[in-house]
Parts: sequence; structure tokens; C-alpha cells
Amino acid sequence: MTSTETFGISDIHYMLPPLRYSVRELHAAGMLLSEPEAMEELGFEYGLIWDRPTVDVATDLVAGLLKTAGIEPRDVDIFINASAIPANALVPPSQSAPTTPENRHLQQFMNTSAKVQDEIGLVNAQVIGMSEMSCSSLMAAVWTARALMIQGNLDIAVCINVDKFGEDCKREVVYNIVSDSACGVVVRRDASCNRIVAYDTMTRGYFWDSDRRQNEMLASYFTTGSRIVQRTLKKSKYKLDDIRMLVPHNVSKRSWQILSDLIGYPVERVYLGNIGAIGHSIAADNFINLKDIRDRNLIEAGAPMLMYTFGLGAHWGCMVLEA
Amino acid sequence: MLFMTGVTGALGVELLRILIRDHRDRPARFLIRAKDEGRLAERWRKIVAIASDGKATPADLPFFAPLAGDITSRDLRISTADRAMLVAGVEEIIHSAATVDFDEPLDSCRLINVEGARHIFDLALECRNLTKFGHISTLYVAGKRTGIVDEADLLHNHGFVTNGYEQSKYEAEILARGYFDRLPMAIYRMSLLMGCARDGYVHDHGAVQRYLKFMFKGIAPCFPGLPDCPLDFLPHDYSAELVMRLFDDKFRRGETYQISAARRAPTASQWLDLTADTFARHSTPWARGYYNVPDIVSWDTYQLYKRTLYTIENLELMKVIHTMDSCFEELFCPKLFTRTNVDITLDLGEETIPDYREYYPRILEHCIETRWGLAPQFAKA
Repeated sequence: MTSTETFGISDIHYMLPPLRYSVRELHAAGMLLSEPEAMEELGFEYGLIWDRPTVDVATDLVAGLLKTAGIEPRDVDIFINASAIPANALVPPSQSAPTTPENRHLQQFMNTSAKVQDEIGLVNAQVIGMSEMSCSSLMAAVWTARALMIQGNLDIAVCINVDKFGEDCKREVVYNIVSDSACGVVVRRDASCNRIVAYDTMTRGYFWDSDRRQNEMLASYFTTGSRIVQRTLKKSKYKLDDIRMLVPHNVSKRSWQILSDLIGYPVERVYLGNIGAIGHSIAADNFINLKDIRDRNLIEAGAPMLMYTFGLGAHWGCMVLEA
Repeated sequence: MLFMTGVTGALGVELLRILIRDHRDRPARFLIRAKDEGRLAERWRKIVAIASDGKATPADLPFFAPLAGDITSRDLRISTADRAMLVAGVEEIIHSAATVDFDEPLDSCRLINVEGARHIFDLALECRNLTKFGHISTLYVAGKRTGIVDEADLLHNHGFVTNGYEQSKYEAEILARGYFDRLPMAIYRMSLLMGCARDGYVHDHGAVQRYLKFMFKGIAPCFPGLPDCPLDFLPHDYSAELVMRLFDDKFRRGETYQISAARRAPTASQWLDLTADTFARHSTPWARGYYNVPDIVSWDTYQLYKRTLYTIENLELMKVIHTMDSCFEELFCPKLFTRTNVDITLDLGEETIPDYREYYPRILEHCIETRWGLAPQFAKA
């Protein structure tokens, strides 16, 4: 999965949801399954929640991303909306024109990606929605964009993840505090930073029923995780010792201590700075963390980094980048 | 007359199998815990059925008789008349009764494994015609020792992995050696007994078999230990055959024998790999790679994992941890149990030690087939 052509993540833009609840507030509101002390021990402090529909957030996000990157909407070649929660790929019916019962079925096709394209004016973009890779979806979207850019000789892709948990849903998923998300990235040909070196993914569809098979999935999480890291490194020119920083998804700090022990990587070099304040923001974590790492000058240009993610269902993803 | 304790145990039933096969006309008494004669008869009927694969009943074994009793009582809870009968008639004793539960606390282990042994030793002192006493022990009296463990070795101060079982068996051996000058005694140290090479039969599912069950179900995520640490285990039937040959044909007073796998013991990673390969032949999630061979992890990583499971209070995974806690620290204590005494006495070579790759999958398959002894159709007994 390597190519002589160079692609990288040139720009990242994220937005944090405005509604911020402490672990104890979430527990008091009946939104946790575990005791708050347990969540705190695992490294969580807050959960963040959107106060508006994801399609609106997505529109603002893409506008902000393009502005940050200095890209004209018409110059975007590919736009991928990667939703972890399929319902978020649809525009809420309340935003459509009044419809008749006979035509209500058409609302099944009111897709967020199309509406964002229209509102932002991504007139030349190939538009794709990805919605079945859970929290690994944005990383998968970046790799997909890269592949399409190679195939179509294209230059600029925008990939986003914007998700919001259902109103009735708990905010704890397999012992992790989940925040709503909004993060977008620009993938460019010949990018000077965050060059994508290798990517690998493993899907274990056996775990599609996450509730029934939760303990098996938990047991498999670490063992499969260590295997995907090894596999991805094998596809890159790097060894684990070369990796300057591991850019995680924001599952519990404890799980990172365990996984880093398992793969033989010092946990001090896993960026855990956002887990407490942001929680696990669905598919956006890795890229939020990547931006913060760069903004805080925690990594030198060109240094190899490793991103790791996991999505229920179950999908493991791993990417090697050069900062 | 032979007097034997522990016949209902996993090793005991294999010893009984040999007695039924080779010594049906040898008078023998078997001390079995039972509240009354009815329950004694029922337990005896069941154990005879297991030991004979259902081919024999107590009526077919007129020279063998069960005796209700309890080794934890000084008087063994047998009548004066029965004691007098034993004292007058017993020529040979095999003391195999013990608790082998790795979870059992030291106090209750001592009651059974140390005091129980003492009560049998004291009975033996009274037996006027006694010519042989076989005391069944374990390789793992070596506790947390590392390196080469010889048959003559016993005393150490390295501590024990399972404080109850190992320490009490260690103390029992010290006690046994104290009787060496008064009793014609030999000690037989057994390996970790996995099941029978013959057909995979597992009489008791202990901590290791329980872990294997969790592993089969895909909920055993990690394994504390050193990948290259040998895990000395053997089949019950092979081990029982060696005990009987040493006891019957080559008895030597004051000797200790380690019936071990020695250099043929697999390493922890070899054992786990073969387990996974075998599971993959019988389980779709294993075959398709949904479940992985557990990662062998450091003690610190294991403790971190354990702490996490206790934090999140995941009861099912806590059971796995509890099982691992009971014995798997052994896999941080690599050792080689030599068996020079066994091999010289019986004129055996290393090649005669069963190859785990040959018999161990059969044991796993038996566990799978019987759902670790829970399958209702499993009616071997």
C-alpha cells in the first residue's frame, strides 16, 4: 500500500462542541453506565455535546477548514463525509421543505455530504459518504482519498468526521466517555507535512454485535491492536523504535498504558493530552491530536508518527505519517 | 493389602484404572469421604465405572472395598474395628489424597495436605506389616525457584506461586521426610496433570483448564509470563503408570522421584500456540482469526490490565483474572525439573516422555466436546 507519489495531511481544522459536562454531571444525568470514579480513574474528565444538528456543524467545519487552508471550494477534488453513526449522514427531516406522506421516503436520501457540497460550493468535488466504519472512519477516509487522488491524478481532498450521539444514548461506550465530534482534514498531493507513509486496517466482522460480544471484543482489542501496529510498520520503512510519537484515539489512558506495554512502546510518547478534557470524540480524535501536537511543537518536521484507531464493528486502523 | 487415599481424584482414578487392569485380585481398601454407607457405595460405583470405562462394577471387584473416612481427622473417621483391620492387614499405602485447588487458602490446604498426610503417616507407623508407602507430591513444591530443580532438592526460601496448594504440599514433603527413618516411604512428585493422553479425558477441571475454557471463548486477552518459560505438564495416565511401576516394581525407600516432562516441556508460547491451533480446528472465531493467541505480557502489564478490569467491574473478565492469579505467576519462574531417578530406576530415556504435541490436542478436544465437563450428554462416569 505504498506509492512513490507523496500525499499528506496539509491542514486540520476541528471544532469542539459547546456543551461541556463533567464525568460526574454525566453520571448524575444518567448518561453513564459505570461509576464516575471509575471513569475518572481511566483518565476521563469531560464529555462534549453538540447543541445543533451535525449537518450544520459539518457546513461550518468545512467552511472553516477551507479558510484555514486557503483553498477555494471549487478547487476541492474530493469530499468525503465519514460518519461513524449512519444517522448523522442524513439531514434531519426538519430541514427539508414540507413533504407529503407519499413522498416521505425521499427523505431517506437527504445526505449530509450533498448538502455540505451545495452550501459550501464544492462544485468540482467527487462526493462520497462513508458511514460504516465507526470510529475508524476518518482515518479510512483519508486513505481512501489518497487512493482516489492517485487513481484520478487529483490534488486536493477534504475529509471530515462530524458525529453526534442520539439524544437518548448513554455517553459511555465500552468504558470510554464519548464526546460528539467535528474534525476535517485536507489531503494534498506533495504536502510538505504529515506525509502518509503507510496504512493498514483489519475488520473483524464477528464483532458486529458489539453488545453481545463485548467481552470477546475487549479481549481481542489489545491482541489485534498489537498485530495491526506490527503489520502497518512492516509496510512502512520504519521500526517501532523509529516512531517519535504515537497519535492515539482518545480511549482510556489505562488502555493506552496497556497497549503501549504490549507493543513495546513508551507510553510517555503516546499523546494523551486530550483524553481528559475532550474524551473520545468518535472518529476525530487522531486528527485533533495530530493538530494539537503540531500546534504545540511537540514533534519536529519529518519525524515518523504512528496513528492508531479502533471502531466498533470491529475495525482496527493504523497509519504511519511523517510530521 | 493395599490402602489408598485419594482414589476419587484425577490421579487416583488413573491409579485405580491400573489396579483394575493389572491387580484385580490384590486386596485393597480405598479411603473415600462419604457421609454414610449409601453415599460411599454411590461414589465407589461411579469411580469404578470411570476407571473401567464403564466395564466394571463393584461386584466385579470383590478384592477391592471402599472405606468411608476423612484424612483431616486424626482418627480418619473410621471405626476402631476398621482401624484394627488396616493396622493388621495393610502392607502397602499410597497416599494420594490432597486438595489441588489453587484457590484454596493456606489454612484449609494445610488441614488436608499437611495434617491429612500426618494422619496417614501415623496410621502407617502402626501398620505392622507395612513394606511400602508412596506419598504423592508435586513438582511445584519448588515454588518460585528458578533453574534446575533436582529430585533431591526440597528446602528453599523463594516463596510459592499458589500459597495454599504449593506451600502446603511443600510442608507435607518436609513432614514426610521426617518420617523417612520410621517408614518405608518414597515420594512421587507429579507434574501439572492436564488430562489423559489415552482419550483426552479430564477428571477435574482445575485452574489451567478453566483458563483454557476462557481462552476458547475468546475472553482471555493476555497471559502473564515469560514466552520461553517451560510449562511442565504431563498426562494423568502416563504419570499414573510411572507411579505404579516405581511403587510396584522398583520401590526404593527414602527416594524422591520427579515424574516430569523435563526438557520435553513446552514453553509458554509453544503451549499457547498449540492451544490456539487446536481451537482453530473446532471454532469458527478461532479459525477466522477473530480470536487471537493471548499476548504474553509482563507482570506489570498484567497488573495494569487486572487493575483496569477491577475498575470497570467487568465480572466475566474478572473471573479470567482470578483464574490467572491463582497460578500463572509460575510462568515467571522458569525451571527444569530433572528426572534422573525416574529414568535410571525405570531405564527410560527422554524419548519416552509423551510429546505434548501428540496428546495435548486430544485433551483440548475432549474439553471442547464435553464443554469442559458441562455437556449433559457427557456420561462417561
